Amino acid sequence: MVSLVFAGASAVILTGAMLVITVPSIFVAALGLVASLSGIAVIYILLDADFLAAAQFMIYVGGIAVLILFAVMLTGQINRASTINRLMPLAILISVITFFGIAYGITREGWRYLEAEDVLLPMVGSSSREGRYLADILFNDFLLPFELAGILLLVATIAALVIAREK
Amino acid sequence: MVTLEHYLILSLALFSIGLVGSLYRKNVVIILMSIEIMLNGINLSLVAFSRYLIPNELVGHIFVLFIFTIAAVEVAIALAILMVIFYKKNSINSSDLNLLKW
Repeated sequence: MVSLVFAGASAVILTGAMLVITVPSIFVAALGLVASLSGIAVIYILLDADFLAAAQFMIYVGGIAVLILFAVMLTGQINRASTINRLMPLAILISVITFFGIAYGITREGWRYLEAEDVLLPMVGSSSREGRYLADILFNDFLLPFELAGILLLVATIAALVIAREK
Repeated sequence: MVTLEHYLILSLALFSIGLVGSLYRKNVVIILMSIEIMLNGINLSLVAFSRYLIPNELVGHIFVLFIFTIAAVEVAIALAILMVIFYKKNSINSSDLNLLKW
């Protein structure tokens, strides 16, 4: 069951990602991005990260993807003969080298871990407890980064308004 | 049977796709989307590591939450800059943004 869901979700994720980088139309690419991000939320549920799955849906699918779609609509479709630059073979070569290099390292490393089916999660058995524990460490150990993230969001909001303002 | 390697290979594939997209596409919006895909690949690997290697501490989840914040900030600023460029040059192709090119 888990393998089936994993296979389906990864097929959706990779297809969406390939759509983003291959299709000339920006709108289709944005829809592919939405599909890809939703698939990742499913993967988070498989990894017992229910809170992150909800956050992924709300922030990425609901926020960032809509923001990008909005920008696509505002800038309009500009038809050009070529949407890719002339360094495409080099780019693919770099990416393939990266992929196989790191994949070699991943498969060689002997990971010692708990299997997914093992029920050995005293702290994170259910989604409600995951949220509670997450809040616990977020507001104790990571309080300063949390506050800084809030300030960063405020600064970014003001900066985006100032930059995009009509002169 | 899904193991840690499966999640890591999936995250690596996402990262590689985002890398090639951000390198060879001309449209700045597509480049931004590719960067989002790369960030999501990284998030996936962090959650998988957290789930399999230290399942009793959710530190990987905390990192992912902060990456969410940074990604939202990055997209907001980048799209604002994009709007200004579009109004000035009527184009969002990276090959037209050659003012600083020597």
